[in-house]
Amino acid sequence: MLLLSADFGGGCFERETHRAACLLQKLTPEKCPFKGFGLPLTAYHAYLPSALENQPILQTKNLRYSYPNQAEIRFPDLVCDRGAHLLIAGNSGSGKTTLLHLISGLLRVQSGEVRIAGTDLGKMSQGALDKFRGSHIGLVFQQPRFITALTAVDNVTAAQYFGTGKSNKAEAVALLEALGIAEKACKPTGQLSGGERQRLAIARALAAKPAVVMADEPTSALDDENADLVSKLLARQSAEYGAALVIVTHDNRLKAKFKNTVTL
Amino acid sequence: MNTLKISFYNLLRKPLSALLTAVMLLLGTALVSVLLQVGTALDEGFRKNIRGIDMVVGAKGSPLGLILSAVYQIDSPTGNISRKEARALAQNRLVEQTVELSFGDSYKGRRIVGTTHDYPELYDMELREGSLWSGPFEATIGAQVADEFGLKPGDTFFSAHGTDADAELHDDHPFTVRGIFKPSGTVIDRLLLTDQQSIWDLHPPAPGDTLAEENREITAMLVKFKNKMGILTLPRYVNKETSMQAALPSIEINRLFELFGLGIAAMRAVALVIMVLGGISIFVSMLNALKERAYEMALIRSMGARRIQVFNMILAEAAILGLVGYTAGMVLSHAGLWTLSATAGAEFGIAIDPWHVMTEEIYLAGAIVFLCALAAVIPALKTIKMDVSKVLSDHAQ
Repeated sequence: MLLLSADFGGGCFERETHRAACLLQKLTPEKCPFKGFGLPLTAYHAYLPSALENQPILQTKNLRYSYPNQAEIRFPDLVCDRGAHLLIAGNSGSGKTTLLHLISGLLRVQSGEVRIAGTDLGKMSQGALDKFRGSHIGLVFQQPRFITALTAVDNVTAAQYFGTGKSNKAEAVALLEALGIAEKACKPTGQLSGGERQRLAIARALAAKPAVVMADEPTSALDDENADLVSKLLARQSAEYGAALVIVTHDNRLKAKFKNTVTL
Repeated sequence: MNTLKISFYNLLRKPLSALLTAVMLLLGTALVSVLLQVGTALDEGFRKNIRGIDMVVGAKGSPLGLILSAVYQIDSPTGNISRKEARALAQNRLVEQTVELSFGDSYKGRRIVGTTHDYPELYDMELREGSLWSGPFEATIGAQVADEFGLKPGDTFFSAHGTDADAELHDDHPFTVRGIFKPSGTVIDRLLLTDQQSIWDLHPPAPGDTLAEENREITAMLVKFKNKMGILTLPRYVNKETSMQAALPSIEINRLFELFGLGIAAMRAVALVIMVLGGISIFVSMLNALKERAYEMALIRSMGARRIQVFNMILAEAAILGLVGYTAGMVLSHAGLWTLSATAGAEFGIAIDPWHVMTEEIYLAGAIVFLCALAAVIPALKTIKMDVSKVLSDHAQ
């Protein structure tokens, strides 16, 4: 249990951690439903609700990444609490997308540590990481692109399915309703306008009720009016679902709207 | 929503390409299914009818022609033989049983055969109605003939000279139907059997032939041997020492099947090539689509799909195509067999049950689905090996 107690930053967490550790120790290895200690921390999640709930939704430490034959990129340590906003600003080439992919588990951590809701992404298997991403993280990309074979609403239900294993069309439609594109639900995504597509992308990101929405340049391709709308919708809908919001961008229009800003 | 649904919609996105592949698989399936069904039906039909017949004796000519005419009643007879000579052969100690056949006349295209009661006995025929014939111009007829022309015991009919439907009628001697056989799946279903004497009465000897009784002719004689020694010696003896010809049905039918077999093997090869082409078409179109689908697959991964799910999704897409092609092919093949079965039954006595699905056809389903899935394995592996992060960021610009 060294691992757990060392991980939690002290204070009131320590008592919780201790309780959880005792709980776990009562389970003999044979009875332990999770194979291999330490690795799938997600699995403990069910046993440690109170301990993990108080963890920041996003926490990175000493994160570095290097592409082959390129200089290493060092990232500042990040912390984002549950339901909070974090804007990561940086110019092109500063590694914004790399950072977003690292904290969303699309890229494997090379050195340093990424924790989402207390879970160390670097220690998960690829399959577990994919599942974890699907259920905890909603992604919004700069170019809103979709599964073109599916309708708008089915793109949302697909995200529900991959994130949670189940889909619920009524909820998906309600989500589209909230984003003001319900009347486009049964249209092929190709028939949606740029602004509508970005709104659909937000709906997709929220489909699996993630704990955190991560957006990569969500507004830089949009005009002022749509950029404003999209950032408002992102903030409002994330808040509605209790999800934290992490945005990486070089779009200065956004900086004024979010207080908690880190610059790369 | 599930991966199967996405596979399905992905297929619909390129309907023409999917259709082309499905049509190839359809044709392959239909061809294999028809070959299997017809091949089996032919084999069964032919083997059923030679049961108990070791040798056929008839006029000199083509041995296959003799077998086809005397055993299957589908070819013209090779000519007549002397009954006396045939009876001499029947006395041979190696011969167990003989059946004399006199044919060449017909009723509305169905053949009339003058014979003895031994002939229906050879095929274990049972009566559905009435009785066997007991004298000249009485007939007991096959079930198929009876049903086709609505003949019942007590009805009368006139025979025609020759086997054409519009041949000249022997209108001076009506035949009376005495009985109808139960359907048996053998050649007798299509025949009208009567006493030999009726045939002789209809074809009187030339005027002035005083030895008419002596010179009676028959068309062919079916022979059953006492033991296998007969096969070794009798055919050679007949062909060398008599004016008759002997043919062995098993050998002639094997020869016929070798000919068929070549055709069937060739068609089977064609079917196989078409199906493999279907598989290659899946492989190529999926490989081509790899790049344009990479982003969507990365997107699906970013939504939380594991690699195995993406892999299965791509394999399922190919398997759906295979299943669609197979199902359509089976429907086509069995609909074709259905239209064919009436003619095949009436003209050749080959019974095809168009709604019977053979075990091999079920294996074929497995084989086709496997082939399609196999064709998709490499594209699927390539897809799941991609760097999700790189694909997503490359498309961001």
